[in-house]
Amino acid sequence: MIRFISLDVHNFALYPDAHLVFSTDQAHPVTLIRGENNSGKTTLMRAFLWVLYGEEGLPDVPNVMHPIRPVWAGSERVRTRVELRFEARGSRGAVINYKLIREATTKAVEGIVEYEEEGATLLLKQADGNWGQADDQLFEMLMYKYFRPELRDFFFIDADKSVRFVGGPEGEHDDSLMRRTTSQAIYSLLGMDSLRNSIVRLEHRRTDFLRQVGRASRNVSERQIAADLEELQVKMQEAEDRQAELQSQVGDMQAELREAERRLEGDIAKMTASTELNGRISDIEDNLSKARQRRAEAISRLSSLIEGDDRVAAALMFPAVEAVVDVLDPLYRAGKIPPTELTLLPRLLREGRCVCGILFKDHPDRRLEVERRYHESERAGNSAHFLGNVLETARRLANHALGRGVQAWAEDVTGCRDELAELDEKINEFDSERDRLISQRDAAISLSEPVYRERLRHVHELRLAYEKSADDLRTADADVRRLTGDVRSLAERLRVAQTGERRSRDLRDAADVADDLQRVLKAALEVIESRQVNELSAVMNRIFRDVIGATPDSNFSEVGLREVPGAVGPKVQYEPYSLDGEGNDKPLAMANGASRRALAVSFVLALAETTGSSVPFVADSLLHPFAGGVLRRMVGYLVDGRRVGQPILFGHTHDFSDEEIRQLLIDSAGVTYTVTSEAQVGGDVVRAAVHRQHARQSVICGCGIDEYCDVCEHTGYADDPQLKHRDQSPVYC
Amino acid sequence: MPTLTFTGSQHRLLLPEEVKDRVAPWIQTQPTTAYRTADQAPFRRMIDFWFSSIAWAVSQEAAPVEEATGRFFVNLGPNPNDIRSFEEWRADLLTILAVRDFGVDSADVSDTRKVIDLANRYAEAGAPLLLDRLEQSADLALPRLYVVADILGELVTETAAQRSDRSF
Repeated sequence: MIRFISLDVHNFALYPDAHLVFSTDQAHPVTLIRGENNSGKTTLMRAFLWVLYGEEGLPDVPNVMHPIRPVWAGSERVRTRVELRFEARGSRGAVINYKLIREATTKAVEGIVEYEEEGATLLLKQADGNWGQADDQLFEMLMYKYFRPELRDFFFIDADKSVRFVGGPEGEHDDSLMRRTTSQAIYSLLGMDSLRNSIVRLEHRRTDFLRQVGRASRNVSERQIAADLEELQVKMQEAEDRQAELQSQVGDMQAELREAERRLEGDIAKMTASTELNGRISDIEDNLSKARQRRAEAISRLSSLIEGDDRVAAALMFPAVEAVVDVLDPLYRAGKIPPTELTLLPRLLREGRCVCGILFKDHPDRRLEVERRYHESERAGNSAHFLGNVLETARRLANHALGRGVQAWAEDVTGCRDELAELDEKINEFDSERDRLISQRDAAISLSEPVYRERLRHVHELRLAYEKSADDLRTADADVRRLTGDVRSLAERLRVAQTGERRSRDLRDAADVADDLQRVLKAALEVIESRQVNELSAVMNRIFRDVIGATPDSNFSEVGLREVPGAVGPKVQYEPYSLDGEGNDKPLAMANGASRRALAVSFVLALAETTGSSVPFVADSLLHPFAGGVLRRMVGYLVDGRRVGQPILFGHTHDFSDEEIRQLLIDSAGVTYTVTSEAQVGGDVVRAAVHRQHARQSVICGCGIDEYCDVCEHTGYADDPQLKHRDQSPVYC
Repeated sequence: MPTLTFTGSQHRLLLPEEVKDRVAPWIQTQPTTAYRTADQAPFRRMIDFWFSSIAWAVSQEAAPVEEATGRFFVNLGPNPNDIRSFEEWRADLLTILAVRDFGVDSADVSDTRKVIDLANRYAEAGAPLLLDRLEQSADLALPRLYVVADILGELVTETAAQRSDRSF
């Protein structure tokens, strides 16, 4: 339910400022705004339209530059503002006050009005009494719920507009216009559009849900994934056990390897010591080699002295040498060896002189004698020569065998022997030392080398085993990492699958709910279509009979609504129909203007009554086409307070001239305004207004339908016996 | 110039058969490929031992055997295969020995066959004596060269001491 509270306009068309407060009194629900033609009633109607719908909601106004631009304005920029306060019941039943403010700026440039800087603001009254700005979503929701643009002409209706529901004015009948506007009003006001849209949306949602269910169900089944995950977790546990076992094994092997390497280092130290011994052994062997070389040289020398030296041989054979010398030396001394003749006689013969001095040439016989003796000596000479040589050799050898010769030999031999003794001693020492060192080295090596080799082999095997275990451990680590990743991935897939399953279930539930809702809505729609439209049709007929006063004898004795096939698609359309007293169809195209307006008003009122009092019913000149009993019944219908919600009626003063009508309105109207303009009152009244310098200015006063005042007085009012002067200040100006 | 030249004709040098095995350890050069070091085998060749046997016999004033029965071990002569290195002083000492034993008037002193024969008989007489002496002083721990050197050194020193008043 919605109720208008007030309307403030500022710089709007004819109005510099105006302030209207609407009746919200259930006992006096009507707000009546009366005025003469061209006084500004429709302008106020446009103010409603503009504040709710903006520039698009305004109809074109003939001979006016822009529907909102003040008529008094020149070329200057003018800021127009309209504020509509209303209340609406929220979803929890609480009444909420709203204030919708729309502003725009217009300026005239070379005869053309530029409309700009338009803005609408929805404010709502908060619990503390202050106004707060509502968000756009709330604004749109309110507009959709209460003021949908397509129903704009229904909520703010006048007699001329209402005939659109019956195809337009007389002579311009248009079935499609009739069906479109009628169906649209029915659909919207009975909620059928909402239901249809909701049904369609639900269908879309249901289809979407089912599509998503299909997508979710495409995943591998949750159970299969869970089984795979369980199997993978078992494998991972095995891999972790294997990893732990290998870690322990590698740790043990590492400790064992370190211990073995430590022992090996000890062996290497021993080997190093052995190497040092080898160096010393090598040095000794060098010395030994040198000593042996020297010994070999000494041996060679001694050997030469023993078996290749004539001195020792001469010494051994000294008895023979001595004997020979003793035998030959006297012969030598006797000149027998060698024989003197062998040297003397040849010399004498060569010189030709004897030792006695005679010359052989003088004594040939002497010469012959010398020659004979020479030949005789020559025969024994070979032996004498030989013995001479023997003697000479014997003497030489004897001297070798004795004295300095053999002494030198003996010294040489002794020297060699001493040197050899020394060398032999050294060699023995070297041999002993070498043997000792070799023994030490051998002892060291014999102690550690086999062990070393065994340990080296052991270390090598340990290292190989350790590296293999380390490799196995790395492989196990990689397996664990891979399996961890797989488990995580599979767990994620399981979670996704579970989520998908849940979502799938939720989606199926949602689809089911959507389906159920769709069924409900379809059922509701069917009910509305079958019952409410029928009810609307019956109400329309009742109003037509009761308000318009149709009788079985009238041309249109029965009216109503009926379905017609939709122009596009399966959507049903509705149109008003009429029957004569005999039940024959009376085409509306044949109805005259009065009948059309009566039929249209019947439809509008029926629709307003059927839809309850959810929105105000703002009618401009709706009563104007009617008179007499029809007018009285219609006013009575409108002011009833139960048929339509918050009637705000704009009407000509003469529409209420009937005493009965006037009394009805006086009794039922909570608020009455009188709109007056210069056209009605000349200059006096207008001068009381703020912007009186401009023509076509309208003002509003609070005069009731049987009153006039200094503001609204115009020609004839004072003379009208039905009107009485209201002597009070124009508080609403 | 040597008193006699023994390499002009071929001569057979002899040693007694019975000393063959006893001699062998003292000789460096063996009939087989075996070879003894100089310190263990003081005599380089068999001829050296042969001559030392002669000298030892003379020094011990041993008489030569009547007739050489020794075993031939080498030829001394002009054939290239015969032993060549027969030092001059060896020839001189054999000549002196021949002059002493044959007498200055004997034509045999210049007969190299007779001289070699005399030498062979002295060698046969001296070889066992020399070996006895050597073996008497032989010690397994002492190189044989040292044994020979000590024996000869002692003998030479003694001879020189006995004849210290003589000069030639």
